[in-house]
Amino acid sequence: MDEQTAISRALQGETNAFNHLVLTYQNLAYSVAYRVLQNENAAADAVQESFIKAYRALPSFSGGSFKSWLTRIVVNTCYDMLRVQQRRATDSLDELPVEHEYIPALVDHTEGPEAHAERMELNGWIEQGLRALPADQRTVLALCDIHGYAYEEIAEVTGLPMGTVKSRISRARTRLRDYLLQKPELLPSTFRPYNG
Amino acid sequence: MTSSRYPQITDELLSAYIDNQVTDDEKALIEAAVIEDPMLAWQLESLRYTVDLLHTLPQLALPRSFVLSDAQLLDGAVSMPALAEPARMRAATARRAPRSAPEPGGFWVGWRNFWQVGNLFLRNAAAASLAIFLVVSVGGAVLQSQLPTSAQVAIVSEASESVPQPTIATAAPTASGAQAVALVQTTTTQATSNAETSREEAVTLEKQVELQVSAVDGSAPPTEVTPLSSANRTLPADSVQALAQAGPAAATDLAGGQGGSVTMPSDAARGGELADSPGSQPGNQDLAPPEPRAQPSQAAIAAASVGSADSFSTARSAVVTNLVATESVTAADTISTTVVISSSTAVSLTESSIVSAPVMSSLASETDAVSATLFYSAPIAEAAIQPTSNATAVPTNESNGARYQPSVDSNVVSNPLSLLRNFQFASALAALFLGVLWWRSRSTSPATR
Repeated sequence: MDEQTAISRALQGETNAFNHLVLTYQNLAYSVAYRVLQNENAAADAVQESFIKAYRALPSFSGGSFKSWLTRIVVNTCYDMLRVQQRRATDSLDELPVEHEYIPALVDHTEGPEAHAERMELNGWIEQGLRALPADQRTVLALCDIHGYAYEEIAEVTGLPMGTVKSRISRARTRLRDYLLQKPELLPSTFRPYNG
Repeated sequence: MTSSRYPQITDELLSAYIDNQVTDDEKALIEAAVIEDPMLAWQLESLRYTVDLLHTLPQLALPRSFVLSDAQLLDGAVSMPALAEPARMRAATARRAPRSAPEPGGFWVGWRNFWQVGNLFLRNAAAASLAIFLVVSVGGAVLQSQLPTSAQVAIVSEASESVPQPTIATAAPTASGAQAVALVQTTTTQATSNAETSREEAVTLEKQVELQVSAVDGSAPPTEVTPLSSANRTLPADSVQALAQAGPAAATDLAGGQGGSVTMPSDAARGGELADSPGSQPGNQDLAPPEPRAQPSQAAIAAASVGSADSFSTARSAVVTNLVATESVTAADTISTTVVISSSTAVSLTESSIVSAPVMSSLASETDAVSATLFYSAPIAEAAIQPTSNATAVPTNESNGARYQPSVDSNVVSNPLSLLRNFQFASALAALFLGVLWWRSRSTSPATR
């Protein structure tokens, strides 16, 4: 069942057809939500809520890229949750920063033990760098460099002008690079700061 | 960061160059600048490496499937979980989830969780209620155990219509007619007679009793007493007869089931005069103001006529004290039974006059005898042994209901009914708070506490 057929059947009320779309995009949706929210539970709730919203808003889908349309719903849902979080401004033990030795979700079992350990340490450092970014920069950076969205798609998803998308991506990359340089031992020599 | 030699080449342009989002001119410019400027080359290389690192991040594992169910699509309200309250979200999820098997850990873990659940107020309230429960129950038991078995009891009940108490009273006029004796004889039932005596049973017993008491002056014949037919409520006929025929000063043994003897001195039994009599204790007037219902001219002693259609149709109450019985009670015309206690007659008892449990229980069993109260008074038991000097007049009850009046010599030690009520109240309170705690422990998962 291709995407258009699934959308058509879902519009006719077939839940299974819509769930076919859910199975197709749930990894992407969860990854985007996690990159934006930096919280597993919140990301899962955001994704579930986004799919429900998408199902109800499916009649308003006017064609085009369903992936971008769905991603926009996910991003907007995540932004709503972030706004709620900022309004409440309460601290939770779950939100306290934790020094991760490694992140189980990012384990790559294809590497050797030593390379795996180094990779996990670097990945953890990257995750912390992403977490240190502002949400808007983190969102566009994740969409562009992690999920491979084009600038036009990012502009469509976020509703931002193309120039804003470019500048945000550039600032995000620069800030993340500077953050990673705080631990040069984790980086290759070519990545070390230029001293010349 | 910009290159000094190529100020037009910015990080944004380099970033766009990495993503092929530059024009051909910009691309040529950047490629030429990177060759000539090592600093610019490092900037481009570091940004590219950062992008590569992000590209190589492993894919996140899904925590669960997000396939929608029909229930979610039909009625699933879109919630807005708050990041700031993940614990609350999980608690809500736990409450929605079906309850699984009991948690491992055994009884003590469950008991600990049971007492640790809920807020502090509920736990303290439960503890306080349990403390009250224990104090009332244990304390009441101790007090009751310390009470004398032959304690004096004063009972006054609310008006109980048409239900004479199983009490037999005789009015024995004196020879001169100016004196009367109201002899109070509680039923000879066992002291442990049940408190569940029903109204029907009382009526039945009432029908079995025929006691005729005439309120007459000196010329009136002695009261005829018909013994109770009930085995355990029968007043010995010989004793009654002896009582009825006894003179004012005679002591009649009403032993029946109580073994008490009654002395009816004429001076002490003089109606309406007891409260003012020199022999009475001074304090008696305070607690027992003389309000004789029966005028002395009407025989000075209230005596009810049994079987009289003109008599009171409502049996007021049976008032029994150690010394004095008050309140005149008659029976309805259809029932030839009455309980007559002279309101202005004092009877001194040479021995302990016990209003035993039957009276108490019968009063307590009446639904309208709500104010029935018992007074146990150990000193009274001793004072009752004294002769007429301790005769005490109990005030006449109000027409709308009886009141209790402790004797002068009485010290209110305890009130079993009040204790019982407190006991029940504490029990109910404890059960309430324990129930709330239990409900909270059932509805809240330990993981969310």
